[in-house]
Amino acid sequence: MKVNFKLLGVAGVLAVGLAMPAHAETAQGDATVKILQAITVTKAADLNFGNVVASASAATVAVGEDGTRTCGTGLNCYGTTTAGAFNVTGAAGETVSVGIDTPSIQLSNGTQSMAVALTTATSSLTLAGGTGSFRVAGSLSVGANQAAGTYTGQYNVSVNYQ
Amino acid sequence: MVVLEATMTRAFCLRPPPALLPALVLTALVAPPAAAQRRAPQVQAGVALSFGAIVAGSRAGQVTVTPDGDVRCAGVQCLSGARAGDFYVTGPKDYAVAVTVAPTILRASGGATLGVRIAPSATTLLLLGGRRQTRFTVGGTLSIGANQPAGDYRGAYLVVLDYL
Repeated sequence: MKVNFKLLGVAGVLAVGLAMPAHAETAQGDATVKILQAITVTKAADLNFGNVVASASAATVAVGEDGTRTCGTGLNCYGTTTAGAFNVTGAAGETVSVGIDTPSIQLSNGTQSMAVALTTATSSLTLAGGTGSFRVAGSLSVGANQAAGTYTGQYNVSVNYQ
Repeated sequence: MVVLEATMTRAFCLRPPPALLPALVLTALVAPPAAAQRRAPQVQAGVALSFGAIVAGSRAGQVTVTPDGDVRCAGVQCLSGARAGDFYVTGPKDYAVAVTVAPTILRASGGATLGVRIAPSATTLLLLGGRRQTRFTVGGTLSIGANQPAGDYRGAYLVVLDYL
């Protein structure tokens, strides 16, 4: 068999010409994310209306966020009162929203109940140093000749990053 | 190229041993054609890809920012601030380039790390040509561990444009 080496050589040159070398340009991009620690809320104080002596007519007892009590007409109030208080921890410098999930609750002594309206003046909070706190005020509706007893109830608050 | 072909023609006239052929091919591949160097596309980074602020929890999660800037959050709470990144490419009109982005790791100052897979909006681009910039965006998927340490995480990733 006769092989034409000259033709093979031409084919080789063509093949070299067709195999185009690849090139690449590069750039660098940045990616960022800020991870925040989860918020924790702990109760620092129960909302306490103290002791109330009921009367023949319905009235309200209010406890402000500073813990001061306003005793309704006809009622006799005594004993220590406290506002509800909560401590919040989270990412330093972040602002969180504060809300009362259950602004209307019932206190119960097991058989009888009283309504409480809850409020807080704090709708948002900046966690300076990663901590913050807020208080909860309440207004207790005492019925006429409300049955004696120790009335308790629970309420929920929620704190979220904004 | 012209010089190279002349050399090869002469070499074949002399009937070189076959062992010389690979060497010649190699030479041709290593020497970049002058034309390709002149027409090289340029790529520049625009805004950085950001996953915004994320609240880590007791369980692991995954956050995806699509190249369109949409955020999908699973297992963790995503806050505001997420956005896709973008890049601008200039080069000859109708020039085709392939886009590849490498995965990377974001690091916080405390040493904690987060793995990220980066995804471009297009894997091939046809350039607009002239001074016009062909834009592509990048998103990514962030894997967040359970109780991921808080912090500002940052990292760089490599974008490679391949062309002929």
